[in-house]
Amino acid sequence: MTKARRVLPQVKPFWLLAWPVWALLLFTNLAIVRFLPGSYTRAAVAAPILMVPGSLTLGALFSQRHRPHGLVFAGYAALLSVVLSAFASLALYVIGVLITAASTFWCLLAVSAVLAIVAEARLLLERPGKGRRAIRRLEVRDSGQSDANADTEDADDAEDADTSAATRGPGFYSVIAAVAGASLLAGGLFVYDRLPHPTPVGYTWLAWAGPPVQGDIPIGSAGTKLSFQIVHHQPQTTTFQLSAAWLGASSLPLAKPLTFTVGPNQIFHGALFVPPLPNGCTYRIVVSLTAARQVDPLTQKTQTWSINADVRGKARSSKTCKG
Amino acid sequence: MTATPYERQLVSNSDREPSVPNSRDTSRARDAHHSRLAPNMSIYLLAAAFAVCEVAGVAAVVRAYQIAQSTVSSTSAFAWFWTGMLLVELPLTGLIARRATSRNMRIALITFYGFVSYAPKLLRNPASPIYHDEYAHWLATYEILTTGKLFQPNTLIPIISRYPGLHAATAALVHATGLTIWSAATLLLILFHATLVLGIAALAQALGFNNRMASLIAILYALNSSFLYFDTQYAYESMAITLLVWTLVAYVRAIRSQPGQGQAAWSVLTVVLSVGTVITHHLSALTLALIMALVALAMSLPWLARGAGWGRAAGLAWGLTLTTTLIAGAWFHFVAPTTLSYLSPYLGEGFSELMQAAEGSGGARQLFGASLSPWWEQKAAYAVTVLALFLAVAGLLLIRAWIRDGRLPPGRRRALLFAFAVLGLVYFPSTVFILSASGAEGARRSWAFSWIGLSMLAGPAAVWLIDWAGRSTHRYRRVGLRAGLFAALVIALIGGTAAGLEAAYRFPGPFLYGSDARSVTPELLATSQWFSARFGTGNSIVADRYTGLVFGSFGLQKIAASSAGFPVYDLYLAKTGSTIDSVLLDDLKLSGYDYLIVDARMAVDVPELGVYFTPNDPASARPQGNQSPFYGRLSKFNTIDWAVKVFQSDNYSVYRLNLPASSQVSYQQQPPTSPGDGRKALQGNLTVTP
Repeated sequence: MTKARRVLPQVKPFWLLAWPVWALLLFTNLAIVRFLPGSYTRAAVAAPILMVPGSLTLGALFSQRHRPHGLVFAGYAALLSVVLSAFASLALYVIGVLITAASTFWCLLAVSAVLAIVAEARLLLERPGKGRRAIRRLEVRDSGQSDANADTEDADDAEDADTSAATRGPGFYSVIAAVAGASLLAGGLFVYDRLPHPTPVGYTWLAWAGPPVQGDIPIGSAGTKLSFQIVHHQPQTTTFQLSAAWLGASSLPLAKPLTFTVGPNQIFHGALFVPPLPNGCTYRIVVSLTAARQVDPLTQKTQTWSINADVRGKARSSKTCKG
Repeated sequence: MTATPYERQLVSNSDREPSVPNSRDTSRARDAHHSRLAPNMSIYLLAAAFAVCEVAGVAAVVRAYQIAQSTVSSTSAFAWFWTGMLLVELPLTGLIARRATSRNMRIALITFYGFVSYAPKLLRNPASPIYHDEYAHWLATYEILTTGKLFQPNTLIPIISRYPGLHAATAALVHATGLTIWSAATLLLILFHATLVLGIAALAQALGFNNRMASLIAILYALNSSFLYFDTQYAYESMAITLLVWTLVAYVRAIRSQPGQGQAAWSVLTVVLSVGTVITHHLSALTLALIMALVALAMSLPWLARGAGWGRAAGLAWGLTLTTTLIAGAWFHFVAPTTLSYLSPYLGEGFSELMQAAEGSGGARQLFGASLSPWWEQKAAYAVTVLALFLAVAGLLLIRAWIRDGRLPPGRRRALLFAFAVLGLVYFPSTVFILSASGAEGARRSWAFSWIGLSMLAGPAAVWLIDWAGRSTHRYRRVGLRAGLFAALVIALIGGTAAGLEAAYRFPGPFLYGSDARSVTPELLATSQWFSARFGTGNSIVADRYTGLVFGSFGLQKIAASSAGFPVYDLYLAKTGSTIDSVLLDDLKLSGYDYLIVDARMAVDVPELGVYFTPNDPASARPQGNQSPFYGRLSKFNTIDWAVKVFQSDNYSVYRLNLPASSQVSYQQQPPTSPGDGRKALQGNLTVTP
């Protein structure tokens, strides 16, 4: 602590003399930060760096005397950085460059460099005894006219002084408050995440597998095997009956039904062999899965899943094919 | 520690910071030493009690959400939640209102509140989007990250693709930090939320209020219906409202500054931030231009603004307003030409419905009709308007008193205060629109803006009431008055939040059909994943609103936007055996819609939000009392010629559409028979293996 107190006054003039340049150098480190693995740690390292474009904007716009301080500065710097990153994306889009991590970085770096030059130039010109404005201000001061007297209604300087007084000295209160607030959020989230939560409701599904086919499925002269999948994401073992039928005015069985048991979180692969068709007509087949002891909450009947497909023989469609 | 002249006028002497005694002799020094020790001890105790309250408050909110997870609506979940929020807010407000609290501490408390008040939304969905608009914004950001381009089409909410501010900023943060979209979005939202609170305090200070009043104004603003949940969601308004507030801070500062004393810088800052608002959110951009115009108008009225350099200040105000309006107009015209057609129905239809209700030809919207909120939340929501009216009237009377006794002479501050008071008063007529189905959403959204002005109006009144209660010489009366003020704060906090998003949005819970925030289940996510894995992304799909959210966002599919010109609900509404409109089927084919998804619950359940597709659904596609219009009409897809069912889970069925229906060869109604036995159907074979 004492060491820090000794070092700080020595470092402060160097910082104040050329803070835009140091800030710009800090921003270049974003390129190095990108090599860290993506995580909240990297975000914590990157966050202060990402504030640089906004801070430089304030440095370029305002003279040191009228620049907002403390939390107002921090608020503006953060929001301007966010806005500038959006502007950077817009600029990249307009010039036809893809928005990537690298292009965004280079764009923001270019903007930051310009802003840093303006801010640094302003800083150098505003040093006591340097620059046109400084001379003019000194003249004003010499005449004994204070800013407050110049316009009795103007209170910005006073407010800035007010804000800066609030933040330059014990501004760490706000930093501590921000850290405490963020920690409380993180703590709440940590606890909530580790509390027992209701088990998600399970489900079962039945779906065709294999390559997707548009339109009717052609059935070869030796028949065709159609594969499907049964996924059972339930905590309990269930007994199912699997059946296949020809759909029509009267549905007739296509294959002998199968009964099997599926354990929790199991996936079953099934296949339906469709025999060669006698003609080129289109037929609809249905594969149905029924859970023996499971009731559909919507219909209050035995729960059933089904998928269907239209199949057609390779022979030419004849006039006898009717709906 | 310099106070502004205006602050000096408004703040009584007793509101100054306690000074440290300047002792001369040893005994006085010793006394001073002891007197410093005692306050130190009490400060530590106060700090410890405050910390305990804050931690307990967040813990209670956690407990509330844990209870809510397993019940559709539980009174105990609401009770725990509000106990937690009150533990967080009441001590904090008490400390801010306390005169002895230093200004540094107040700023710290406001900063802290900005973070902690994000807890309800953070805990609501820490891992992924769940609100309707969040899916669309997540998708917009994903598109930027994957394509490297802005303005990619968004089928969930088409207009947001023209306002890429939030998405571009999130994408930049993802690029810089390597976080997921949702983590980066959460960090940005915390930043926007915390800076919104600070921004309101900064705006109040820029308007000339002292630190104590400005901090209380920030707390009052946080009572608006959008603060805890709506403006904390991952949506463009959450970013834009913060930008709007900080733009107004810069605007007010520019008006109040003198040339050569930061005026140009504040003006440029106003323009930069207003451009940021324009590219982020349409409604915020429009509102910003309107507020700036209101301020500029007030600056032009001699009765209000006449003073040294007021003409120049009015010119600057109009100049900045015109610049913002031109930028917004240019953006609407060249980049987002559909903005006005997107926004106008809300106001127009809302107004027309209100007129119909007034004439007796139409019914007014039933407030809290299907709400899961407990009765006391609903009553508190009504009470908020009454409390706000009371404080607004008191604020107006205070302003009148200041004007009469010369404490608020004509000048820029009077004009600014007047403009923000008018903005605040807009809240009261807007509450009428809550009675109209179309206008309710717009009215609610306007409150986040009108409360900026309302809090500026109510803040001085609230401080006056606190001081008045404190001046009471009778102890019990003083305690009673303060308790009354805290009770009003409790009612305002509960009612303000209840008047915003409904409970299903605010609290976690089991599946609730037809609720955007509780419709996503592992089953739906698995269905969407299966679909993308099998058919790829970018397919055009017909689905209901709740299924479409997940398929359209995480599934990266294109969801049909149902409308009167493209009535996809007619597909679902058609009775079994009846003919579906061939124009619709042709449109579906022409537009490349190859898949249809059916949620079986549509046939039996009434959606919590009252709509199956969009808020513009016709009456025929809306629930008929407690019955679904789709009852008994969904099974037709299993037998229809042009639809083949390729997937079924417990609730969802996926159909591949083989359109056009006219060219579709019907499947045979008689199965193929075996060559040997003409009466027996052809036999195949089933096998199944784990």
